[in-house]
Amino acid sequence: MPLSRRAFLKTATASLAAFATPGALLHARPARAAGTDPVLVALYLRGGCDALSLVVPAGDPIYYGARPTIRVAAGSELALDGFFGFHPNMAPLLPFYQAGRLAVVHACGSPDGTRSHFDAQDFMEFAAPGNKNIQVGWLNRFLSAAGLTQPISAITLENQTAKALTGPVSTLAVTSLSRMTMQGTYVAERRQAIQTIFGSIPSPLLNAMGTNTVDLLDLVSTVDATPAATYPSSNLGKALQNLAALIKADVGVRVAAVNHASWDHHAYQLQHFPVMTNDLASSLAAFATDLGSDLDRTLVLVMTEFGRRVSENGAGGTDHGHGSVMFALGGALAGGRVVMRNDQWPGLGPATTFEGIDLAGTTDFRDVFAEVLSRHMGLSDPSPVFPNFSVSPSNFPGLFV
Amino acid sequence: MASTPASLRARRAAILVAGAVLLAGAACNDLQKQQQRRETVLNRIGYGPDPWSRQRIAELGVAAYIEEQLNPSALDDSALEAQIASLYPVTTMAYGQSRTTFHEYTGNPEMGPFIPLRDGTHAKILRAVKSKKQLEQVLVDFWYNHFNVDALIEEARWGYLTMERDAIRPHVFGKFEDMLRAVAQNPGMLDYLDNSVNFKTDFVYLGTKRGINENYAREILELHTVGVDGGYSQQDVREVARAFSGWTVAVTTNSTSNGFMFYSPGHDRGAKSVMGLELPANRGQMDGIDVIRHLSLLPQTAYFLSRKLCQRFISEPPPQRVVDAAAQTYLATGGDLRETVRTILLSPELTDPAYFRGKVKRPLVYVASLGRALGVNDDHWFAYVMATRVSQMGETLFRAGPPTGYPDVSRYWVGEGAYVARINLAWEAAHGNLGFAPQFDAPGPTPAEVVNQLQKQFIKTGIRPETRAALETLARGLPPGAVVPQTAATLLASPENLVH
Repeated sequence: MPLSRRAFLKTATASLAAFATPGALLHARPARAAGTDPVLVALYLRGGCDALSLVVPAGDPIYYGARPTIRVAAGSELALDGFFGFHPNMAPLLPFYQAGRLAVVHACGSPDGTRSHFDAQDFMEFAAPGNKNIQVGWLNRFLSAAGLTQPISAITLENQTAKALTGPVSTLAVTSLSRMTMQGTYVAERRQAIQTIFGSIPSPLLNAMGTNTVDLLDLVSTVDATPAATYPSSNLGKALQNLAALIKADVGVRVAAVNHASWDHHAYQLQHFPVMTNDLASSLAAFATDLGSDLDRTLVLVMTEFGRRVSENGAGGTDHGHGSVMFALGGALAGGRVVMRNDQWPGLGPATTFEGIDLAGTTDFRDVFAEVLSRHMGLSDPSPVFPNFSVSPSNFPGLFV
Repeated sequence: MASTPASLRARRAAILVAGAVLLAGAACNDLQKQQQRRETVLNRIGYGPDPWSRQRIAELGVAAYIEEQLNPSALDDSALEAQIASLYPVTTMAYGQSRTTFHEYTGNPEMGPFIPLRDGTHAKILRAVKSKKQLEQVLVDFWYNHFNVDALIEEARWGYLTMERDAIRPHVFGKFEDMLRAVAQNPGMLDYLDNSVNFKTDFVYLGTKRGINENYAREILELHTVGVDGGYSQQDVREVARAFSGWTVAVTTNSTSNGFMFYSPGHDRGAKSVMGLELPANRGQMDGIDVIRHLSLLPQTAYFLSRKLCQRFISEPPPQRVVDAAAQTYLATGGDLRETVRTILLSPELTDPAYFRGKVKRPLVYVASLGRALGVNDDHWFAYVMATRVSQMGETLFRAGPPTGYPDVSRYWVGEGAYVARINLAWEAAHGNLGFAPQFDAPGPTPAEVVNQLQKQFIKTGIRPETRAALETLARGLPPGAVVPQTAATLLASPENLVH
């Protein structure tokens, strides 16, 4: 399947370029089988998820010494490969790992050492570590590079556009499909007036908001929102349920940004972390199930701004750290593996940790992004997406091969 | 496959905003310019014009109106405050009293732990709409958002209200240092950023071994004072955390408690060094007090705060000349916020056409400005409904999760989902469904006269010819009884009413 899928991607990309004339796509688009374009979902764990609790280095004795009160009890982790194990509440995702549909990248991170949430998030979402002059999201640059400049190509499942999607290509931001409806009377007449008014505004910011809104109202009314799986009632569950409906309806969504807030556990981590993890794992498992065969063309990439301090702090929590973990679900992954630079765990001792206190980031997060854009989204040259960074397939972590 | 409208698939131009103006104004004569200036002031330093503020600024002139807003003690809000105290008694309670009253869920839904958040939200909405002290309300919102506490975190459930009322409001025209200290000692903040569990290494507190926790220390530097580029190191973060060790929450049933306690046995008594400030050993609570003073008076803090204030009141990015002037005022006055804000509000840039309509109204501003424009006839119902609508637009009050608060950036507030919520709110408001009593000035019979009258009533700064033409077309196609409310609803959802 991977080979034929990739072959199709090249064709699809070429035909998009051929029909880049405004308004031409809907009418002139060649007939094709529904649901073959690849979709990338960037799921951001805000606050700095504790990588060492999510994917436990159970084979490293330093872990247990550094976490006397908040460690995942030895033996309770869900064994992945003889060294690492999932947090027990990742159980809903274990079958996907075992089936080769989920791959983990451990000890990944940024070359910039900031422990500020907001700088670290920006650096990652703009794929520009240490550079505050770059304010365009990596996914927005991808849209430009791939020629996916139609607003429907990308959506944030929130009221506000994710920073990873901000930039010159207009994208959509919607929390709830069920609320995308105009209330009251004389809807058609008012809708027409709004479209005319906003269509005449020179400011692209307001013009896009108004005209996209009107178009989206029409689109959403055609989407069947019935899920084929049971989601948690959390914000994450709702967002992924809405997203699955859009992907299954194949309306043209190719990139989506989803947030999962509240991973900043400076205190009482044993109370908070398991709840967050359960929500994450059960929401994602429902999403993967709901997508059905569309999971073959959909890749979820889960990321966070940094991991947390190796040693727990005095409040049953962990302070901001450095190296972290990412994982990918779906698509044509060669999953069922925990991937690391040179297949080497950097260790948790003072000699090999970042500044002697935090997990090192041996895989640059941009290499993960670049591999996903190249091998899942079919972008032949990801270089324009990554300013001041040399993209080289030999540095890809190897999620697909 | 579902059908996708052609325009969603068509290429759209760049959405990044380089300049300040989002929407050009119509050409106008001197009288109109004067009116535009007044309306801009009301839109910028408050939650938009209402009949009282329009009359007041016409009587006093722009400069004197601003001066009165900077010294608002003579403005009479007593009826409003009495009403809020009666509708929402929790807003008058000390921290300890609120905690003892609402902490234990008794089965009576009106006594549960969510009541303080609900009632404080309603009170905030009513003040935004009805207070004559409009600038004070805007500044209280600005500073709450600057420090930000998520009101459902532990002690913040009661502490967020006293943070707004006791730590922020008394100081919005005072010294920043005093506000920063009061916030640092607020139990909501202490829990939200974990300083309540920040103790010297290996200290046993309430039966649990504790240690240094960096969370508050990092954010007081990064977000509250010098900013992330303010020139501090990881070592400074550590030293600040040691300085504040032992600042914790006084968990008590004492109904007069403000919730702060310095627990000296848990304080790290060693000497410390913070960004050029040397703190000798054994000074207890004075470590934190001195760190607050030191950080408050640093030039980095002056520029960081001035920039944020200018971004709120003028444009994004803010004009550098005003940022510099405000920072100089701040430094020359020892961090006096009235003087700093005065420099900004009396700057010509405040009403300079170059920055006209430069910002998208945040949800609370949009909602409150509708209430002020249309008149509210049922305060409690209005506050109740508006709280949910502000939430749907993405600005759930007192509930920003990250310690940055909500971003004060236009592009953050222009999502399609959020805009549909504004369209629907404007429609309901114009039809009297929301505790509004829409009073429309009697319009003439023609579509042009209707649009003209509504524009004069609601958007005195003018609308673009394209907007006017589209509204006239709409009005022409409607039956007589529907013309005014439907046209008004569309005008209130038009871009001219989304920006300020």
